[in-house]
Amino acid sequence: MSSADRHILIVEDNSALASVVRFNLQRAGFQVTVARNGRVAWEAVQEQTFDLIVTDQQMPEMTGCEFCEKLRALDEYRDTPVIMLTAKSMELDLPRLKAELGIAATFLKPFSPKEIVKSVEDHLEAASEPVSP
Amino acid sequence: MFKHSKQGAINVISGTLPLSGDVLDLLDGAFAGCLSEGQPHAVLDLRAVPLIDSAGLERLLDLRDRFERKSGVLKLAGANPLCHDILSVTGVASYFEVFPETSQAVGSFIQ
Amino acid sequence: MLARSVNIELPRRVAVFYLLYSLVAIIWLAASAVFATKSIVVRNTEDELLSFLRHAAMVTTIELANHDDARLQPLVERFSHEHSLLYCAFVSGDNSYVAHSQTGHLGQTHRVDSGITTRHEDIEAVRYASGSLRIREYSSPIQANQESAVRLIVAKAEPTVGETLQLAARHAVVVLCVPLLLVGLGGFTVHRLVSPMAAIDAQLCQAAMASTLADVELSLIKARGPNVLGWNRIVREFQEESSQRGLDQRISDAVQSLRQGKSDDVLNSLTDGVAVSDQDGNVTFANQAMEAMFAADSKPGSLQGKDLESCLALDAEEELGASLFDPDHFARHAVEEVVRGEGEARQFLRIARQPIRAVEGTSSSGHVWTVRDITQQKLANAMRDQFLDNATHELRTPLANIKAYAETLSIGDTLDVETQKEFCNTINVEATRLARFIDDLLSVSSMEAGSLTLNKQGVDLGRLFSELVGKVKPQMAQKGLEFQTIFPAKYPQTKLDKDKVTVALVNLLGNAAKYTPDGGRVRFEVKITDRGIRIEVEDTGVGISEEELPRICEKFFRSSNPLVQEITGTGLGLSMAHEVIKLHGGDLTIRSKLGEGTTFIAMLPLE
Repeated sequence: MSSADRHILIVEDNSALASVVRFNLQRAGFQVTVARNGRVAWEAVQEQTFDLIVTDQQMPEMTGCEFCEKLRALDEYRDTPVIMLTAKSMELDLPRLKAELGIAATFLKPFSPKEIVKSVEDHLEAASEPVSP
Repeated sequence: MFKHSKQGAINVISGTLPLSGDVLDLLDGAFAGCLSEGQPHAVLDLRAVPLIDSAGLERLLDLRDRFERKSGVLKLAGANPLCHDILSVTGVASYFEVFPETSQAVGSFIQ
Repeated sequence: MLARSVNIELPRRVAVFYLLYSLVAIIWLAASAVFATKSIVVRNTEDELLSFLRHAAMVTTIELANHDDARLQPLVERFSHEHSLLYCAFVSGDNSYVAHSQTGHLGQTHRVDSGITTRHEDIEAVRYASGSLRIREYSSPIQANQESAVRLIVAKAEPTVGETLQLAARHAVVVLCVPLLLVGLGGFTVHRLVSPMAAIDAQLCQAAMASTLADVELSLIKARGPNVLGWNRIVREFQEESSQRGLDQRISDAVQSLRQGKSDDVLNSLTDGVAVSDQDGNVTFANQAMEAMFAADSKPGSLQGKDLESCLALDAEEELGASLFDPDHFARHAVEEVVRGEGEARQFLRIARQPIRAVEGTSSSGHVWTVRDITQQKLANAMRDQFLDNATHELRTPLANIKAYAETLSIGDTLDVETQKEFCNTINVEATRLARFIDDLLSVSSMEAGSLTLNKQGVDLGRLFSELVGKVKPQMAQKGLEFQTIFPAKYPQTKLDKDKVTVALVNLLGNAAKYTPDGGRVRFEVKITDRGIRIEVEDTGVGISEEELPRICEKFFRSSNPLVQEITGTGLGLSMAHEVIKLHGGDLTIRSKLGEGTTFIAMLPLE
């Protein structure tokens, strides 16, 4: 599957940051949708199917973790890779996040968009590999 | 009139009247609450207090004794120049920690 | 003779024994004297009788020669009478009385009871007892002419005890009284000698019976001799030592209680609570601070004896305090931070428990506890942590943008110029935002530390306000807002911190501009009242909901209103403005209606 078919959802309340990440992902060939907060994102995931989700943690109304929890309740999103962005290093308990919410990777702000793109590509590839019997 | 507020665990009593005469009974009343606590900690905000007479000074010392008996501490803050002079000339200031600002007084409680 | 003194047994005893034995001796001597007298009298009597007998024999012989038997009777009577004989008799050859002084015995046979016979030449003496008398009978043969021999019997009774006593009585006065007198004198002397010893003896007996040496009381005795002087010396030494011991004890007690009192004072002056518990966990000592913190009533000593664990009354669910009361850990040091109370009265305490270090030799049990109220510290730490938490987020957000855009630009060979310019602009804006935030942060930090001081100076209010207007006008214009300004004609003289007041008002006006959508209105009015300077900033912006209104001045608080969320803000501006106004002794009132607008009213008192 080429990257052009891949649809990424960005959930980020900071519009400037969301824009630049989208710019980078689009330049890498992905389709990108931006949701301003968890509520909007929740509506979006129900309307469309995304291959990967990049979400901020600190958002009003619904945090990234809360959104992820809700997401995993949906069948089609049970294994969808989720990349988390956060400004507070204390929250990066990756093993727990991985275990409980299936978060694939975390990035501490400020981050490099190039690395985000790479991470997206890697995780999409990993997700598309058939599960060994 | 005396107002009571709390900054964290520290009681702050602030008044607007001179500390003399009948006002002193109001002062006692304002402190009654925090003196009933286990170990009372309080700051008397004197910013809006224009003056303290000898009866007021006596009452302050009396308050201090009551605080001490309960192993608590009373500090003073924001005394205007006149009150500050009254406190130092009479020697009453030597019995209290006096701070220019209430926030400093409250901060000093962190041991 | 027996001098009497209180409780003096010894001289009496001595005197009594002395007198007793003396009297016994005297009596013995007296008896002996009586006995001796008797013997002497008897001997004298015998000699007398013997000589009389010879004389009587001669006389009798002559009589017999001259007158024959006829004159015998008057002779015996005469003899008996002259020599006070018991009886006198002539016994013929056939042993019958031919003459007897006791005429009744005439013609009877001379019979001699058995007795002791002795011979003095030709006189035969017989001693025999008759009734209560001891009789001595002497018989002397009379040599007459060839006719039958006659014997002359004379008898005399030995003197009785009574007769002897009568004889002796003459001398009694001298014989008895003098020794008795001497004995009495001797007794008196003995008593005098002994009585000081008696006093000593009595005191020694008392000392023997006293239960402890401390109860022994010795007293001085009037000196009458070297022994009493010696005693007095010893007593003086003893008394001195006792009083010294007493003094030493008193001094030691006083020092002990002084130290105790001092240490009690020391412990009671501490603001930390100090308590001591025994091995059962009951309180044996609690200082003033401890009682202030935990006693239900304010009476001193009210914690004494109570079970410490229940006095502390820690939250039941809290497992944090467990190690303090865990019996397995009693031998070691334990420190815990625990919580008690709820809501307003919620307290954080630091409790440390140490086993009591025993002095060598004594067994130690129990613990010493120190309790410190760290509530304010905890709250301050919590505030600081939250502050840092929020601050980190607020710093990282613009930085994230700067980095993201910068990196994108740096590899953006595919970017067109417009996009490049746009990105650079974003970086610029974010950098500015970051800078402003750091400024706010520093101000807020100094407020947190209580070190924000106002630099109050005389200020030209008119200029202040006009400069202010100048600062915010571009922002107003940018959004097409109608900016109303109403100022008084004259300003009073006052003192305030110009810079900080400016910042505060810029914040208020900036907020008004930010949160009012395009085409709205902002009114800036200044009024001089008797209370001070009244500044009103009114906008027709997004407004603040009722629930959020009380929290609006909290640090970092940002409304969850999406319209507000859209607009960038640090959440610090209002907090700063509020603090500055408060420091000036003023107050800030906020009125708002969601969706319609907000009015901020600041009151700055005149100085």
